[in-house]
Amino acid sequence: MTGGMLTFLLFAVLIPLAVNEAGDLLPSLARYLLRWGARRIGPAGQAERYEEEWLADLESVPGKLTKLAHACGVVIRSVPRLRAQFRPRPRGGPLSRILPGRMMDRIGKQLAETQEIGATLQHVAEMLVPQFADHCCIDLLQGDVLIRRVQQNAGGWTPPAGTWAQVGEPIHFPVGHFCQQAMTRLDTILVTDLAETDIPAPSARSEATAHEVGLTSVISAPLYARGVLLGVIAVARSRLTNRTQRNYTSADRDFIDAVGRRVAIAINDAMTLQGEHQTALASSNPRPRRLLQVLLA
Amino acid sequence: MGPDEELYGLRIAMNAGRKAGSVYPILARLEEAGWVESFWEREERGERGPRRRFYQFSADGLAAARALLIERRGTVRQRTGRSAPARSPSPVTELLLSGWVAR
Repeated sequence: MTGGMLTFLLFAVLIPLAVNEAGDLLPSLARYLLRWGARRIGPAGQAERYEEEWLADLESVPGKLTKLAHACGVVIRSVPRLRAQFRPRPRGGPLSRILPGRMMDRIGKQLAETQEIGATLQHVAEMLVPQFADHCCIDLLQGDVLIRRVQQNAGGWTPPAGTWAQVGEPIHFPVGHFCQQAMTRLDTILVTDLAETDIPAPSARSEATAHEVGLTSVISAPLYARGVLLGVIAVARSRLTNRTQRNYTSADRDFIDAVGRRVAIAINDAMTLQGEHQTALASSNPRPRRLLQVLLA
Repeated sequence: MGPDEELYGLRIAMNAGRKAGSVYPILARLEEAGWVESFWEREERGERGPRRRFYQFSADGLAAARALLIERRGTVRQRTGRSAPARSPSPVTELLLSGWVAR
């Protein structure tokens, strides 16, 4: 057999056969892709529904290569969004998973049942004060403004009016403040001994109150979840209670770091749930309107 | 397109000029919000293959769609300063009006 005959066989017979075979396989591959994509959505009922719906729609797509392109488009565009939409969402559970100790488990269980952000934050503060801290403040961003959402102090002590920001009041931390550093660096900040560190205060009265109450050590952690900065949590020890260890250590910092992460996720979940609740109120919610606008464009 | 013609995902996407892959999640969200209802095609197509899933507005969605269209016409009127709509509805608007809203 000469080389010329082999070339003829290759180009006139084998390659066309292979192309024809591949062409026949493309619709099957498209169906396989859609089945695989539907199964990736999550809940069995939804997977079955979309598998059948997509396969039926695929039959209306002409051509073989076009079918495969259509299937790829559906898998790439639809599956991640539908998967996110139908994914079962944790309801405050993460916090309960990270809190160590029996007491933390008990309070964590309360948190797991809490879906309202304010109540969730209050539970966190009550968990930390006075066992772990004498003071706990949680501030959340509303737009660009930081608003104090929780302030918990040991022994029923409350700061005089006009000193530390009260719940509901906006607060601005100066550059170099441990809360500002935590939010800027997205890292947990430990100040072991406040007496040895020069920390700028939000105001002179705030600083004076810190001196009066005898603030000794602080930890601040950013509330950062899924790429979004939500706010900051700060805990501090002072002379309000008699405790042997008045200064936080790096182990304490790691603990608050973990708490901050889980609290942020809990807040994020609660916000998502609130958003979904709003979505359910379809007539007054702009989101379905925006979706309709897309189809009407 | 007549009001009796039923709309499935691919057809909605084609008429909206959108990729089908981006329309399915939108329909799912509208369905979740209660603005759109879906149902399987009634004829015995299952024996021949998978059934189509048809979509239609719910009562809430219908009212919202009508309001949206009226609002949109008002916006166009304000922009052009004319009393009549400056442009004819897009094919999808027509589709929605005839196929969904007219139900």
